Amino acid sequence: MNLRNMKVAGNRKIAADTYELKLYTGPDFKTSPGQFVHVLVDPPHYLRRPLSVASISRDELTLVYKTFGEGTKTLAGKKIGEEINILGPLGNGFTFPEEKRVMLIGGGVGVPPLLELASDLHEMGKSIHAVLGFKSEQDVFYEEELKGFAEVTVVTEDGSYGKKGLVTEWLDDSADIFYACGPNPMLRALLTELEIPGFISMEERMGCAIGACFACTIETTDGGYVNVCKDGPVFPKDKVVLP
Amino acid sequence: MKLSQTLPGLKLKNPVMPASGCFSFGKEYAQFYDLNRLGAIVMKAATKDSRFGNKTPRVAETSSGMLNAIGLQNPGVDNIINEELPFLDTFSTPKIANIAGSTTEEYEEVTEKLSSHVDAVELNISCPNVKEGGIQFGTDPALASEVVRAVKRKSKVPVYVKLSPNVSDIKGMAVACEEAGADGLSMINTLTGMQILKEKRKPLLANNTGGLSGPAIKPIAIRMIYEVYPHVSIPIIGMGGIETAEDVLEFLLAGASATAVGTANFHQPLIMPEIIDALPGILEKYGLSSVHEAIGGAHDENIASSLYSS
Repeated sequence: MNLRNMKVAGNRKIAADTYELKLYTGPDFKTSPGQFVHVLVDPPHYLRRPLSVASISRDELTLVYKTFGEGTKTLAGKKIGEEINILGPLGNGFTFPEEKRVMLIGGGVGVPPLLELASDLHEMGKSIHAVLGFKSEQDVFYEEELKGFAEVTVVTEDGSYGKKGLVTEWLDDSADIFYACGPNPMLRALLTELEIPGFISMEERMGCAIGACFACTIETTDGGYVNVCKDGPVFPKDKVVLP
Repeated sequence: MKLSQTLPGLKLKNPVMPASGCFSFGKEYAQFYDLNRLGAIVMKAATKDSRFGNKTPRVAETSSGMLNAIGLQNPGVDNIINEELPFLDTFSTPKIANIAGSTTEEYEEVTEKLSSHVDAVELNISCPNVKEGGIQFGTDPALASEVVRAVKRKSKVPVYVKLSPNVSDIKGMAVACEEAGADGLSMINTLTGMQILKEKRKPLLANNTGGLSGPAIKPIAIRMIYEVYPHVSIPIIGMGGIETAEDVLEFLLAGASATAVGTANFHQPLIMPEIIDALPGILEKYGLSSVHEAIGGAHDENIASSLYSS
């Protein structure tokens, strides 16, 4: 299990209240798309923050976070060269598809884990269509980055940028499989809308993030339960009951 | 520096153990360090049948702490014996089973099944997060007495009673438990709290209320242990916001014989071995030559209480 201090290599605002944090991982840090790390923030904030991995290069880890509260605001203040304690990588990432035509669906801060996935799928020669939903123009990020690997459709709720409406109104009917990450109402709508197989990446408040505290436990469709941190955060679309 | 001690049922190589509910059944933390380093292992609460617990959100951060309302999720006593204990049996560290229930009969049944597999049981009469989860036993001395007597009759090992801080007379509860036959006390469990989500104008936790833990509650734990210590002659396992070896010493001085680390494990998974490594230096720094010497050190030397020692 990996617990280490990583030096900040970059920390910049990429959209409204949205920051991209780059960290030097040090040697032998490997992660796969869909995994996350548990990030220590400054006192008096006590719990770590689970953040999904947006991308990983040889020795650089990229995370994206929204400054929803005071804890993540302390992260936004981290300067180049400062150290941040990172636990991870944690959880199970996306399973790669047999299918050829892949649709990636991201809602807001659910977009980041799709970037590393798109990069890997692109390398595998898949045809990729990313449908990204945001509230408004000022919230849009990673459109250009994803264009390197995929056809990209950006949807904003108020129509201030790209298509107007919700991602569910702009889905790609030709896709054979989907991968989605975003708020639960979006995931719920997708499960109703889409008949093709797919995987969803869940977000839940966490304590330990290693499966010991049962803070992020959700029910499964077969009457059992799973911990989002250890058994997920990625699940096949029919596996869990969305809270 | 002598860190070891013997408490009822427990040969502790050091006074540091996890707090129940923060360590599941050990497997997760065994990825970080050898569990043989710990003084003891305290398991997650066991009930008769498996319990799913509360809906999410189950946790919320607070200033220097957290609220949780897990709801005693556990696979049930039989699954714990069959699926979880074999792993813990691979370690030589003493095991403490935390036992919960909603009726005296359930406490008895779980104790009867589980106690022969462990070195001690911790009676959970203080979980604030379930409607029928024992808190009624933890806030009424007469009911506490009744359940302690019942469990003592069934248990094959010493019984520690985990006290709730959500009472006006902690000393009365402690004395009632000792008189009913408790072999030790664990204190404190979490304090009931709430956080409101301003956007939704509703409590954040699905359970509305949760148990407050972490460094925010440490002064309350210290005060309660200090208050109880002179009035009981059974050992106290102290807990509530411990993060450092200095904190451990503070609990010992207040009157605890051993300590448990809870929420800090989430903050820093290696916290317990780090505290254990630092403890000899901290005892020395304050002029102490053993853990035993520190216990109750903040009290006057001539108090009536007979110090637990062996």
